[in-house]
Amino acid sequence: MDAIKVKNVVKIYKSKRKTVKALNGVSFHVRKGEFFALLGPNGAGKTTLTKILATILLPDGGEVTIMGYDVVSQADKVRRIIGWCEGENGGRSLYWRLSGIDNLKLFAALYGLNPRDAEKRIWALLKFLDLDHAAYKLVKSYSLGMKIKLMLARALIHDPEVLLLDEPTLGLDVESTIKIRRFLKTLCNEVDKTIFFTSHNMHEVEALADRIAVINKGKIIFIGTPDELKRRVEKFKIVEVTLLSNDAEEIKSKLMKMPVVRKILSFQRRENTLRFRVLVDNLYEAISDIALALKGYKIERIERALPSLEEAFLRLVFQGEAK
Amino acid sequence: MRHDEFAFVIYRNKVDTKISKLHRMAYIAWIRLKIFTGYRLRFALDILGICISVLQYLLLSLLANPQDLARLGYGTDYFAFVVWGVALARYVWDLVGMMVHWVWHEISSGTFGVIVSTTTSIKLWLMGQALFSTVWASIWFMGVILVASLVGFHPSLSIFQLIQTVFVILVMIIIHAGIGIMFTGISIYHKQVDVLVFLLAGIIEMFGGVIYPLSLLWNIPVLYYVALALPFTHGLEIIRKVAISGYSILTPPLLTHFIVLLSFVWIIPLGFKTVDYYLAKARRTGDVFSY
Ligand SMILES: Nc1ncnc2c1ncn2[C@@H]1O[C@H](COP(=O)(O)OP(=O)(O)OP(=O)(O)O)[C@@H](O)[C@H]1O
Ligand SMILES: [Mg+2]
Repeated sequence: MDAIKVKNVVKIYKSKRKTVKALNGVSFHVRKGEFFALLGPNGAGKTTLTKILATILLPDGGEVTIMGYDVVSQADKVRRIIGWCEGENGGRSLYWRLSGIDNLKLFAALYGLNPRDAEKRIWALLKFLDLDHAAYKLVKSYSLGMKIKLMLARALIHDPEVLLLDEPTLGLDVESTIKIRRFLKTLCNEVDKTIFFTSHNMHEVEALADRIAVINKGKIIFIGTPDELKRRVEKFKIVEVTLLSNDAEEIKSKLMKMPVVRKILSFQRRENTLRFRVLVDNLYEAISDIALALKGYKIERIERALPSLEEAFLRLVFQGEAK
Repeated sequence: MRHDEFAFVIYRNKVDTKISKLHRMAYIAWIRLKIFTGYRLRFALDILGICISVLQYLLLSLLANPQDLARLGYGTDYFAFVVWGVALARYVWDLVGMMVHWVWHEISSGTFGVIVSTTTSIKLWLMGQALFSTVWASIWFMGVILVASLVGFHPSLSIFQLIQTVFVILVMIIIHAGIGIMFTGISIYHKQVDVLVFLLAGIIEMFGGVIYPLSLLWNIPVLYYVALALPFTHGLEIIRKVAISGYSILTPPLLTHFIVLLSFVWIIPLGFKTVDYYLAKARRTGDVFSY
């Protein structure tokens, strides 16, 4: 069974000056118990889509159901089964003047939980997230990591079947990120929650998700497993050259003339070093050829580079167009 | 905690969602009080405000002419006249002001949007806010009466007068809570609406007969009709005549005022309609979270 069904969703933000088509016919399915990631650069429409799933934004077209309930006409039923957490706001949506435990108690009451059950669940969540020692401290004294953990606990307070997490690891250090990822993995594997997760970090998502959708400018440009995404992106070979020189134009034209170079993706100048990122056909051939072609320059480094998300998008978009 | 223990508590014990709406509403009001008292200076300033406004009107009362008041049927004590006016005006102003202030606080701090995504409807949540604001404004009201009684306000009400007064106050408060719900509804989409509260307070002070008798406005009929269009005017008029002069609410002129006051209950459904309208609008335009 599908936990989330999104079909042809359109969202347009209108203002006097301009209209933004934030979602332009988005469709995908998330299976029950699946860890599904929505990946996209800034402004791609991830938050917009998550808010539609969370019933606080209404779509302008298309159909969205969660566990069979329509997010527009059956919002009440949907709200019972979703837990929503937005990392983007840095914990702003918590009550900073209340303690962690009061925050959770309030939301337990808003979900109608009876106080005895709520208390049990709250302590289990706080312990599991290592927040129990800070339960009675005011949230304004929490670190960002603690706030995000508290928001996760809040999203889970009413035992939702589907978790909607909008960049929950944004701004966290490595250790907290790992902890939260492990927690999410547990939820998905051991207690069978469906997780919808957004991120703009491809490498983060690769490790976590069962399936990934890539969104760019309001359109889904890829859906598949992390392996499939990796295979696509691995075809995308990039060499990064760093050298001491001021002769940017000359080096550029030299690189462009080389048969192994397909495209210069980007170029940076910092004091008197230059850095080029070059798309190539054959990695090893390219590295030695470039070294040869730039003989006489003070080369600091030539190395294989992983594509950034934006570069990977170029590739995905490019492939889409080629078909 | 081990994973399997966690799973046991979190997953295997299905949650029971049985608490009543009234319970939720009371909890919302309670949390509001907890947050409010966390802001200590604000709390202290409120108390100071009570004292200042009472003293202000005490001074004003020294200027009034007792014979004029007696002639108009309000007794000879201008201070008593004005204390009822001021205390009630502050009562409704505080009620509406508190609601708008705290709902705005939630919108601008980002908690409002999350509440929309829970199973508690925003209407119920606003009723919780109204409950808190009523309780708080009532404490304020009693504060004004208390401070005034320290400086010469000595109402002596029979049980019968007291019951009628409390009853009319209750009706007034419920109607003004409806106005508060309407204003907060507007703030969901239009955001800052504090001006509306000031406007309401200003209109009530000017036309509601707070510091001068309603009948003085008769000299300028347009203003008189504005006054009659406010539920506050009718409530205050009844309360003064009942509490100061001992009339019964059943005497024809007061009964008329009371029926008119009651007829303002349509404001409550209108308030809820406003909330529905603007919440739907904010959900369409993506403004639930903006401020
Ligand atoms: N309330 C709004 N009013 C107008 N335009 C908006 C609004 N919210 C978002 N947008 C626009 O819609 C587009 C999608 O924004 P959205 O926030 O969904 O992107 P995102 O993928 O979450 O980006 P990020 O990674 O930066 O969080 C952007 O062009 C943004 O400017
Ligand atoms: Mg976003």
